[in-house]
Amino acid sequence: MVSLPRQVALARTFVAFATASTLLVGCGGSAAQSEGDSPEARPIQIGMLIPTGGVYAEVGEDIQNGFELFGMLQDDQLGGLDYEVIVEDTEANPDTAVRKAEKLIGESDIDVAVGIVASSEGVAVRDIFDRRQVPVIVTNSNVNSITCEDKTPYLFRTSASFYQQGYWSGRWMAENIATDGVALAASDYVGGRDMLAAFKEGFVDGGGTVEGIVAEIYTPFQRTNDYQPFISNISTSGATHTWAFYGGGEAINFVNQYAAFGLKDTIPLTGWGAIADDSILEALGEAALGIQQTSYYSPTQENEVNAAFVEAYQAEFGELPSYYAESAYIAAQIIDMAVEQMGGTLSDGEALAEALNGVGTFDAPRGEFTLDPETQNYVGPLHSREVVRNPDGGLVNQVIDDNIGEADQVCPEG
Amino acid sequence: MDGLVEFLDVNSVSMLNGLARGMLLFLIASGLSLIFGMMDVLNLSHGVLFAVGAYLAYTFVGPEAGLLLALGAAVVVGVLLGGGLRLALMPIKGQGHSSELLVTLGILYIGADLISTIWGNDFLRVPPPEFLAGSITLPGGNSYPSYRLAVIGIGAIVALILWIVFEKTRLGALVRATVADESMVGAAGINTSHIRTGVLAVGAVLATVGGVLAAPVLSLSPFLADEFLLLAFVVLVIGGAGSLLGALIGSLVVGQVQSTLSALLPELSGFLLFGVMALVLIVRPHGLFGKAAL
Repeated sequence: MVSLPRQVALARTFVAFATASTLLVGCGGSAAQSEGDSPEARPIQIGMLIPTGGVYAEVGEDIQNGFELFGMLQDDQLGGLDYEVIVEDTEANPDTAVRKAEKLIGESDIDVAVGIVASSEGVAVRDIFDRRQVPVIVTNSNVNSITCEDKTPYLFRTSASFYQQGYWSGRWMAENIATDGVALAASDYVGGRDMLAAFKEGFVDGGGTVEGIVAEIYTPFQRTNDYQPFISNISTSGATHTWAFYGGGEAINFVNQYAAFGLKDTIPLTGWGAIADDSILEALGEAALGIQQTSYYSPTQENEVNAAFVEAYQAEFGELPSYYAESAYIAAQIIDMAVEQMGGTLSDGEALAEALNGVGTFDAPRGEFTLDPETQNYVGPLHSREVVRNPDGGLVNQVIDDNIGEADQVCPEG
Repeated sequence: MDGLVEFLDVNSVSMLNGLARGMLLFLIASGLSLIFGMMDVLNLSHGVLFAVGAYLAYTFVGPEAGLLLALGAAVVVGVLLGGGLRLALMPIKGQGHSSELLVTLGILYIGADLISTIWGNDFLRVPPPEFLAGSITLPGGNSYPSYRLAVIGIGAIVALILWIVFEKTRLGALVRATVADESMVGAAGINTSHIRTGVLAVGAVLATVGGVLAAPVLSLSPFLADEFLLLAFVVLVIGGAGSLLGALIGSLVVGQVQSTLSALLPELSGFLLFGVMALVLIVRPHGLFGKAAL
C-alpha cells in the first residue's frame, strides 16, 4: 500500500509534469540549442492566448489543436524553423487577456501571438500588440473595429469580421429565403448590434426591403436563459421567418425554446452558423433539424484541401474540426508562409508583420483564402448549409451552396 | 373588455411562463429563505446545490431511468449536502456574517469546480420526459410546452406542502418557535440543534429538487450555480428574507417581470428586474414580507 505522503508527492509530480507539458507544447527545444551558433535560426516563439478552463475550454482546445495540426504536418516546423508554443489562459476575459499578452511579450519574448476568442478580448489586446510592435493573429474575435477603424499593421485575422458575416447572411436571406416578413434576434452587445446592422444592409442589397424586417429583438447578453418573452414577440410580429445570431449556451437555449414554443414549423429559424454549429448539434438535438445558416467553415465542405484537413484532424484528435480549429490551422499556415518568405530567419516584429501582410492568396479548407493587405483580414467565400440527419441517425450540417458570395468588403462604410 | 381579451390572447404564453419560472425560482428561494430565517446564515453555496440537482437530472434521465429517479437521487444528495453544510458551519458558529459568507462562498467555488471536473465544461441538455415532451394548445390558439405546465403544478404542490408543514403541524410550530426564541425552545427540553440540521437539509433538498425540475428548460453549464443564486437573492430582496410567503410572492413577481413585462418592454428587459428590485427597496427596504434587512 502506498502511504499518503507518497501519494501526495506523486500527485504533485504529475501535476507539475502536466503543467509543464501544456505550457511547452511543440517541439525542437534541443534541436534549437545545437544550432546555437546562428542566432537567427532560433525557434519561433509563439504565444497562444486562449481560454483553457471554464465553458470556453473546448474553444481553446480546438484552437490549439488546429494550430498544432499544421505544424505536425510540416515535420514540426514553420517556415523551416522549429517553434515553441507558450499557452496562456485568457479565461475569455479582456482584463486577463491584456495581462497575459503583456506577460508573453515581456517575459517570454514571443515573436507572434495567436488566438483571442471573445470580441471584448480583441478590442482589449489590440493596443498592446500595436505599441510593442509584435504581430498577433486573431483566430476568432470578430469585432469589426480591430481590422477597420482601429486597424494596426500588427493585427491579422483569419476568421471574419461581424460585418462580413452579417452582410452576406442578410444578402443570402433575401436572395434565397424571404424578402420580407423577417424577424431578427441577437444578443445585446457589440457583436449582436454589428451583425444585425450588417444583416439589414445585405438584406436590402439582396432585394429585401427595410419594411420587410418586421421585428428586431435584442436579448440581454449572457444574462438570460429564458427567451420565451422574445420568442412570443416574434410569434406576434407577423414574421414568416426568423434570423438569429447566438452561440454556445445561448444558442442551445434559444433554439430549444424556439421549438418548444411551437415556432419551429410555423416560422422557420435561420441564422449565422454559430446558432447550429456542429460543436453544439448534439445538445441542440431535434430542435436544430432543418435550420439553414451561413458560415465561413464547415467540415463537410467539399474540396481537396478540406478533405485532407478533416482526415488528418480526425486521425489526430478523434473529432471533426470546428471553425475555431480551421482558423487556427490557417494562422499556422500564414506564419509558415511568412517565415519562409523571410528566408527562414527571424529579425523583429516589424519584419514579420510585413511578411505576414504579403502572404496573399492560397487554398485553405474553407476555399480560396486571401489575406487582404489593406485590412489584414480574411476575404473570400462564405457558404450556406442546413442541419440534416446523418445515415447513422445523428445530426450534421450539410453544405447547400459552397459560395454564396466573395466577402471582399471587411468593414462597414463610414 | 375586448381589450382585456386581446391582451390575454397575446400575453397568455408569457403569463403562464412567468408562473413556471416563478415556481422554479420558489424552490430555490424558499430553501435560501428558510436557512436565512432559521440560522441567520446567507448561504451562498445554495446555487451549487441547485446546479448539482440539474446535473443529477442529466445523469439519470435516459431511456431506462427518468426524472423520477433523478428526483429520488436529488432528495438523498440534498439531505447529505445539507448535513455537510451544517458540519462546515459548526466551527465558525457565532463568528458573524462575514465568516459565513466566506465559508459558503468557498463551498460555491469548490462545488462549481467539482461540477466541471465531474461533468465537463460542455453545454449539456436534458430532454423532458417523453409524455411531457409535446405542447398543448391554449384557448387563444397559442401553444405552450406541457413540461412547463407540469412545473407549475409541481411547484404549487410543493408550496402547499411547505405551508401545511410550517403552519399546521407541531413540527412547523417548533421550527417557528426556534426562529423566534431558540433558548426558550431549548429550555422546554427540545434539541434545537436537530431542528437546525433538519431545516438545512430541507432547504438543500428544495434546491436540488428545483435543479432537477429546471434541467429540461435550461442548458447546463458550470455557470448555472451563479446565475440562479443571483436570481434567488433578488427574490429574497423583493419578497423579504426569512418568510416563506415572501419567497413565494417574490418568485412570482420575478417570474412575471422576466416574462410578461419583458415581452411587453423587450428593449428594457435587461434592466427591468433590477429596476423592480430598486423600487421595492425604496418603498419597503425589508422586502414585501420581510421583518429584517438582509
